[in-house]
Amino acid sequence: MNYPLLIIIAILILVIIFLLSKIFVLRKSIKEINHLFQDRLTADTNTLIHISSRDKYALKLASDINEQLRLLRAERHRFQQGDRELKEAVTNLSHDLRTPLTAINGYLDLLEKEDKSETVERYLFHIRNRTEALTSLTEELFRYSIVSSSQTINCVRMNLVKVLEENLVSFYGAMKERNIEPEISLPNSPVWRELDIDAVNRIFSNIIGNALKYSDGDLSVTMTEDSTITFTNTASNLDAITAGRLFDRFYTVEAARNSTGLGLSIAKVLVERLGGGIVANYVDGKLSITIMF
Amino acid sequence: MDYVLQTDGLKKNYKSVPALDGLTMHVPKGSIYGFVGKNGAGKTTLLRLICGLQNPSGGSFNLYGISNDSKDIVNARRRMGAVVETPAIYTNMTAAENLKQQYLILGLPSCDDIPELLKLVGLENTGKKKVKNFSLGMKQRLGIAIALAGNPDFLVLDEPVNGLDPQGIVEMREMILKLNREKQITVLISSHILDELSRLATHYGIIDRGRMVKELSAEELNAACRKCVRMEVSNTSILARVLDNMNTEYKVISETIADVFARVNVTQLTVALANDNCEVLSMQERDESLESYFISLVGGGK
Amino acid sequence: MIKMLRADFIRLRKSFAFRLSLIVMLALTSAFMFIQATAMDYTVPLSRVIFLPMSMYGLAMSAFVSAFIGTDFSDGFIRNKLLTASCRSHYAISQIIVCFTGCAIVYTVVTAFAAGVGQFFFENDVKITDFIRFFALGFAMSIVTGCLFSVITLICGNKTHAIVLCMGLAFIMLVLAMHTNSILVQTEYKDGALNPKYVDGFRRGLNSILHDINPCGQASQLSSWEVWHPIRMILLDVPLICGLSALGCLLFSKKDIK
Repeated sequence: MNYPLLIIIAILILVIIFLLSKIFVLRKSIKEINHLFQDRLTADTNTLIHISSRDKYALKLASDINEQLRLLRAERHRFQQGDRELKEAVTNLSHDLRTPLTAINGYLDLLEKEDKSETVERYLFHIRNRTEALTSLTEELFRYSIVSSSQTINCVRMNLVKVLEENLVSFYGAMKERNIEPEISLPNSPVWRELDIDAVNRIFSNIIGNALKYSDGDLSVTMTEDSTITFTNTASNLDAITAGRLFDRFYTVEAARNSTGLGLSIAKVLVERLGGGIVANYVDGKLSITIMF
Repeated sequence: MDYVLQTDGLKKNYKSVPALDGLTMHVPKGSIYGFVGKNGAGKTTLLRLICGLQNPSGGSFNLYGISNDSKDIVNARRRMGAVVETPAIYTNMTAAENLKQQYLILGLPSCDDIPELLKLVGLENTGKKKVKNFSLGMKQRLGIAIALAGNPDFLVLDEPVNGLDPQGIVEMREMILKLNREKQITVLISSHILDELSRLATHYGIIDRGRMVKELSAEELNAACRKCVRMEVSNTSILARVLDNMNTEYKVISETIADVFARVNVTQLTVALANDNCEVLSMQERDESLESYFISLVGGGK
Repeated sequence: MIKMLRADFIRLRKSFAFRLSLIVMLALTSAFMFIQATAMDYTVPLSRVIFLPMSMYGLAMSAFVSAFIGTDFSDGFIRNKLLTASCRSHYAISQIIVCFTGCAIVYTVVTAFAAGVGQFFFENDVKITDFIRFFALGFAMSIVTGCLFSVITLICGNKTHAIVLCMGLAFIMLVLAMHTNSILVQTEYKDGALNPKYVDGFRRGLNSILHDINPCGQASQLSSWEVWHPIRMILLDVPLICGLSALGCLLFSKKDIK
């Protein structure tokens, strides 16, 4: 028996086994880093990446990633904290704004009853207008802060056609007042979607209300069976660029008019939260707002 | 409401002696949950079940929404750190070596933050001292350091202030509050020292004989601890009679002192007492102590 | 499991029980060699000395294994390990592996020491092939010893109980091995006549198997430089190792830990 050869073979076999196991453990660690990294990026957890290997380079990779994850979590926490504080401040502020506004309205009511000259009456009329604008701005501010905060979405199965119909009906009075006869085209069969009813109502009422405010005198609402809804109205005082900015917070076309820009912005937030999309287009003097669910 | 831990009718029998008898509890996320009970009420048994040291005889629980039957419970437990009964530390190693063992078990890539962790619990100056030469307080703190090694989201502490000196108790309390606030760690503390818990806990769970007697938040507890008026009179038996006539709840403490658990019309009461030759020496408003509330719930001392 | 193995190997390296058992075995080896070299009337060949310390091997290893695993229970660190383990059996297997590795290391070091140092004091009648063969058989014996005591300690769950149980078992195994050995070494013919103490047939087979299954019996065969049924010994060892480990994992998974 050739002993030296046998011994060399035995040693080589051991070395191969050792190397194979090292490769196996390294591959396992790579899989672990991959899987855990995906998880830790999105999950709300303090835990970080852990690996099986003790290889110097694998450890360095994992610990560097962990360092960044830690920073990310701190940032996220800071942001959430700041966001929460801001919302709280806005909510409190809008609450606090109501008090003096109510008082102002009260005194205005009293002033109405007093004898006054024509100039005073005219001035009072403007003051009253501005106060109402201020009140509605405060309301919108308050509602915006509630919308932006993470609310529970309660998705139920609902017929989108029916909900749109109901919203249009509720605006019947306002439409009649402005002499707008809407052209409505809805699918004959129900369109079922899993959405939050309150949010959808809010979206529709904001958009319809907005369309009524900006419209020159017409409104057309179409809905296709794949739940794409388009609201179109003639709006001569717009252009393409302005249309794109309609969803920006507080952007309003006519600053002098009795409106705030928040309605469309709230609609956008809600649509996106439900997993849909919303765009505004301006073609041939007509503004179209399209929602896709 | 997000719950870190929910149990549903958990049962555990040791040789036909029921240690847990249908325990249902809910630990909200981000809270400091004080788990209160007499010795032998089943607190440690519950903690053992949650940590997977023992299997329940009946019922179920879920951690972060994952049921204890499923295989993923391992991932949920990975987010936990626990000190059950006594701190789990190797007596023949130093503090740093113990932490190194824990880091290896967890597979954490970097041992650089061991000194920082030791500093957090106040053990940075132990050097080469072996654990068998540690004081009880130092051992408790090392146990917590080991529980914190994996950056947990849920910390389970079994009577953490047991055997600590007053300074240690304060430091422990500060540390728990800091961890809860800065790292959003939910803490479950089991204890029978109510006084200390009342300074920490945001929620309470009162357990007796293996069942949950009551779960309530700190605000609810404050509301429930009844206010009373402590009266010092010349003769409590006369007071008792008068109060019985007024259908007022009271408790006699001694021959001259009694607690009255209702808003009494002071003038009417004093006049009625004076008519019966009983003098009112003093009246004080007091809050019912946590202990007496607890005893009233649990009916202790039987 | 890999993580736990790593942690436990580091603990093994630092373990007082491991070092102590190694030192004790080496000391015993030296003592045996000294006695054999000086106190015997006849010259003892090397082959009879190399595996002589193995008689005490079972006892030493029982102490080491039960102390090593028992520390996990008494210090409570097992609670931390079970919390992070993906499965109870992983912990059990990890402990078994570390323990039989420790046993194998002690075996290798002691045997190498005996063979190496003994060369200078005893007549070298050892053939390399024989040595390698017996070394391998002894290696298997060390693994069986490690498995056996690990499983007992895991099931027992209490350090002091486990130490007592394991050492007691080791002692019983030693006595049993001496008994079966005395039965089996009786030749058929003694001083020309039929030996009444000679056992035959079924009883002989039974005793033989018992002698082979018992690690102490294996050790005694090795120390007399004569293994009667090496193939059978290995064939018994393998299922013994697997069976014990499986049983240990199963029983441990059901166990309540304090």
